[in-house]
Amino acid sequence: MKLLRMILFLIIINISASALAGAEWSESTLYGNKIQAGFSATGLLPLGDFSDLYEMGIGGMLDFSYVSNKQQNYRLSFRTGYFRLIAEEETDDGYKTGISDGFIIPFLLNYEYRFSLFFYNRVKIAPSVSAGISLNRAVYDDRSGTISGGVPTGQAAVKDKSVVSIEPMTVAGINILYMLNWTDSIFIRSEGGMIYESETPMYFTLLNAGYEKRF
Amino acid sequence: MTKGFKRVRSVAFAGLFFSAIISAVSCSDMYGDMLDNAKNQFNIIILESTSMQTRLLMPDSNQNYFTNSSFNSLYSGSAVFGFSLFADFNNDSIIDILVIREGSVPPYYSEIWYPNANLEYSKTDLTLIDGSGLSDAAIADFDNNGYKDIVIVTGGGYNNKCFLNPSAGTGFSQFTFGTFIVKNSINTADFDNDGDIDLFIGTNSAGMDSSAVWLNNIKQTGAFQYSFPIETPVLTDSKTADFNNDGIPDIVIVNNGSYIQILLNNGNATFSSGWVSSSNYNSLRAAVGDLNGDGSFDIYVVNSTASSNLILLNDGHGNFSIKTHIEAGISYDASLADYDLDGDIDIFLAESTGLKIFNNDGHSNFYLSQTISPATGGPYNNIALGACIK
Repeated sequence: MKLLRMILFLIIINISASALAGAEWSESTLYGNKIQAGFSATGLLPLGDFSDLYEMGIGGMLDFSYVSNKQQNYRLSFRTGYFRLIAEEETDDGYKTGISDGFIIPFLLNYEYRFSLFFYNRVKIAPSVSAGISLNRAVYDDRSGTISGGVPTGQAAVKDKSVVSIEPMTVAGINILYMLNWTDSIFIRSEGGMIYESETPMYFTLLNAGYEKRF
Repeated sequence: MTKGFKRVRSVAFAGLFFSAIISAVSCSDMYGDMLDNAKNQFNIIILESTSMQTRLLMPDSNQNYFTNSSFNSLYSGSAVFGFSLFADFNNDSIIDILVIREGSVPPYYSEIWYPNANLEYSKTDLTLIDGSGLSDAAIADFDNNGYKDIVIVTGGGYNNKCFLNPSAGTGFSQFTFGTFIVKNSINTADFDNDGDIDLFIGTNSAGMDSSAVWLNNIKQTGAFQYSFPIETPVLTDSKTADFNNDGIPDIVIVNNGSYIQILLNNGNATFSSGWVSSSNYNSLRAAVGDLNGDGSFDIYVVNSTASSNLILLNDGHGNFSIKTHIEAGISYDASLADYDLDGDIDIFLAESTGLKIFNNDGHSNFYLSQTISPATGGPYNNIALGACIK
């Protein structure tokens, strides 16, 4: 339900934003430039249970957007990237987690609306919501077979067990852009997100800093 | 509302719908499993039994072992200690301790010690259990009712006994299943693959006193049935594990002045001779664990002279290479577990000079990490291992 509430909240923000700031901002001579590409350096900060497993993630994102002729304030994007997850060596109680570094590769569809703000409309603020899947790899020492009924089984932990999974992923946040010119912008994007697991959702925040260009 | 906006909105909702569908069909819980695993922090706890003392050793935050003073089973000269074992008798997920005395003289009976959440133990007397002639004991759910039962085997002409736990570790009932003259050792496993836990009792005698499988016939006849006798005239210990990775429990027997031998289970509680050592050894005890982390059970053999204990590494098919554990002194018993919680199996030795833990470097090389003062009044009857949540 948390996932649905968050998605609903962001949809409401986006639709409200479109009603409040309907003015299109783009130079009409750029209407033929329908493709926009961007890249960013990204930090991932795990929250809650996720932070018991990983200290942080570092990596980058690539964004590819389609810009509709008459809806210059909207972006529908495909986002992908790579985050290397740096493992927590110990739990809060000081015990070894047995976890090694892993990674996340997201594949997201992103939808955002861009408000025009001050400095002659060069600054834009864009609420966004992304949803898709993430390819995750984790490496850890599996201790599950070492104890049975409170007595050691004599089996050693499975060292560096590698697990790959595909999980649903949702991200939402605010993108702040500064237009260098009509086609080039730099941006900072702050987002909250979740990798959805049936029993244990993993929450995180993302901080992106990057550059985009319209073709 | 423009057509463009409708198109964009439709695509966005399609993306969300796609995500929701994936969420619905997703059944993996990788990070959740990892989280459970990371929090799966156990301490290995040790029971050390001599005839005159039984101690519970627990590790502190630095994995240094100390005596838990709340477990203070009292010595009586005419009701000496036999074996101490760990099991959860009342299914409260906290491990209990069974103490069996070789004789029961009121008020000194066999005991079950139940802990509270802080692992402070208090005892309940088991007046039913007479440990006279006690040779060995084991715990398993023999009647498949979800509660741990107790079996003791005896020498000196006393009856072997099984104590069935009806629920919550109270009101045990008992039956007998044979009589031995000689001392013996006991192992539990489902040897005939019928879902019931059977026994292998190893002896150094012949005839009805020979080593044999005792099949679990509790449902049919209310007892264990003597089956597949094996004459092992110089046997000193036996252990069971699946050595050839065929999913069926096998047996290793060690002897005094003879070979170390693997008995491979044919799947129906009959056995064929497997790997046999090329040399004779004066062995006292054996312990089984995955010492090199390859997923197969290896064997640690305690021999009767210093620096002669053996590490037998399994090739995965039940064949073993042998190396000598030269750091070991004169040992009485060994128990294998991950004492330092680094993911590999270490060695605990009860030696004449003290209790020693040898840590594994991850490649089945062992180095002494800790010496614990010994209990008074050895030699050791048994060393038992349990685990408690940190």
